[in-house]
Amino acid sequence: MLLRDRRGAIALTVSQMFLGAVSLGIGMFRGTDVNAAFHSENQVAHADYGASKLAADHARSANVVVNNNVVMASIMGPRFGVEADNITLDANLPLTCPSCPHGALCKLCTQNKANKPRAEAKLQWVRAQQKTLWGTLGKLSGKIDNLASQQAQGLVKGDVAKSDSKVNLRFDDPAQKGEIWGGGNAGTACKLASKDVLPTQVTGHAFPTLVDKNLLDGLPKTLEQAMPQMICQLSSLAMSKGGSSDGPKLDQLKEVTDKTTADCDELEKSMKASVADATGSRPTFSSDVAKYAQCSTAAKKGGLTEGGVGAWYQTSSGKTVSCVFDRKKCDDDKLEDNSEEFLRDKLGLPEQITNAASLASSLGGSETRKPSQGGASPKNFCACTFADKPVDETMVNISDAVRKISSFGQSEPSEALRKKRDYRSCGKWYFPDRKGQFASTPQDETPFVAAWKWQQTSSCPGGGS
Amino acid sequence: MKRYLRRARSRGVSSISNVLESAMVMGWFVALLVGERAVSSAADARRKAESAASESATSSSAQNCTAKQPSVAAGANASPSVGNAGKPDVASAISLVQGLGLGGERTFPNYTQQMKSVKVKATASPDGVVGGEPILDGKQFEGERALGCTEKSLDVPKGTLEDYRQKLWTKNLQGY
Repeated sequence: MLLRDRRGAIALTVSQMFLGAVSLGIGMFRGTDVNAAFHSENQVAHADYGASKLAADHARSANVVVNNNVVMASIMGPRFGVEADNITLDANLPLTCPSCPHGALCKLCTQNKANKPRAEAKLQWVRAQQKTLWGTLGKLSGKIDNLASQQAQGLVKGDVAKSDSKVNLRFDDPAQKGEIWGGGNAGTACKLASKDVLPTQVTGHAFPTLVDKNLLDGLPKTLEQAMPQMICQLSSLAMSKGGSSDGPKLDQLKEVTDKTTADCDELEKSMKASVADATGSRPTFSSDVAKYAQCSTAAKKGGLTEGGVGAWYQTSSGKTVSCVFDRKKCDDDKLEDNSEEFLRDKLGLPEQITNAASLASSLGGSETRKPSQGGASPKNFCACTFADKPVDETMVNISDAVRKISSFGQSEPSEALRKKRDYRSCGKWYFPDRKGQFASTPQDETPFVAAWKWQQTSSCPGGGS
Repeated sequence: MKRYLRRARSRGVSSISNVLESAMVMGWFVALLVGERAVSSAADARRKAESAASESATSSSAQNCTAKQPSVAAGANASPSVGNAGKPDVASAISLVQGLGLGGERTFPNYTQQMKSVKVKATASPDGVVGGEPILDGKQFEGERALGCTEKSLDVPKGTLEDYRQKLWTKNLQGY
């Protein structure tokens, strides 16, 4: 009886101890699980901090860039006004000074001559300021995202190191690889500046501030409307190729209209001379004349198109061909060409701006910016942060030991716990287009509205991250 | 009494050593149970601290860095602190723009205003009592979170071009 009791107690003890050991193993295994779970969560939290800080700083940089754009555009309108005033003052001189010394308009001539230096001084000032402003702010817009990214990365690394020095952080930020704000945006800036300044007192401010009366009323406004095309190359490249009919037409300027009349007179004379020289064969016109000469077989000698001024010749077969010079078309074209040439001379611009670099140079070395990939939420306006840290070695060893015991020595050391894992979090910054308070903003004006925001996201679209 | 002793002996509790041995085995399980309870309480406390820190940081960040207490995770204390986290490196722009008499416009603070971030430290103590004593007495678990903050928009739908242009004109060019 006693023997059976003892054996029973020993069996009980051994089996209970076995169960105890298993329970202990499960407990320890669970402990390593909990530790690994919090380990992962903390790395994600570090990555979240990096992503949110990067995106927030980039969003502020975006707002700085658009603020730069606004400031750059804000000086362009006054420059247009002062340029237009100076040209108008000059254009008034030949209309008023011939009446001196006793004519009614002589007073205007005297005022003009006396006060022109003030207008000229302001012109030089506003040109210099505009170029400095565009040069400095445009360059800043190009590099601010890189600076912000470096600063944010430094701060995040410092903060994370304070809480856990073993965490390794890595960043994938497009701003570190190149400029995410591109150029080619001066046209929008100038268009907005012109639209902004036209209805204000800036337009024609020299009259009566400097001279009582402007004999070319409306010219300052016309000039201001033409300035974006002339100074900012909105369409002057197309104009120089004759592909646009939206060029400036300064028909109020005697200098321009006189030259236009002279040019067309000369072309018409050239056409008539060519027709007169034609002896039985089709006359040869220069390329300039050919644009305006229209020849057709006439029913009788002198059968000219109504409204045209022409000449005729007889072909070898005896048919009469009449040629008409399209004076209206010539006047339109030449007025536009001469207006553009006049403005270029007056504005001191290079003969022809053919590319973005020379345009930027003429405006001060840089220009306003827009997202290089365009749109309200460009793909490269997104940056990611990666955090990694080895799992605590003691935890890994406990886990290995328990697994080894439970598998009766068959289990290998855990690769999963030793594997280097990157925990990623990303943030994008975007313009809240078509939603909320900026819903009415046209797409091309998007870069000029300072309201970029940011949000966290799981990955960057189109990026390798 | 004798009947009870007889019954105990018949079930193997036949000597002091057997009684002690049984007590040790049962004690072992009690210790395991208490240990398990402690691990569970510790994990719960850590979870509370982490959740509180996470929620407080997210809501504070989303509300333009206004420190917000967590609404869930009762039993955890969160201390959100909003701090400055650098300024844009735009000194050249500021001096240039101010040189033109500008600086009071609505969006000008985009150049000057500090960027902010929120850092939250949350703590929680384990629940539960064993033998009249709190489990892991005095032990506190911490959760930490940090996030960059959203910012209030400084602009309005109309934009600020007119504001900048008007002041620039008035201060520098008006009246020639």
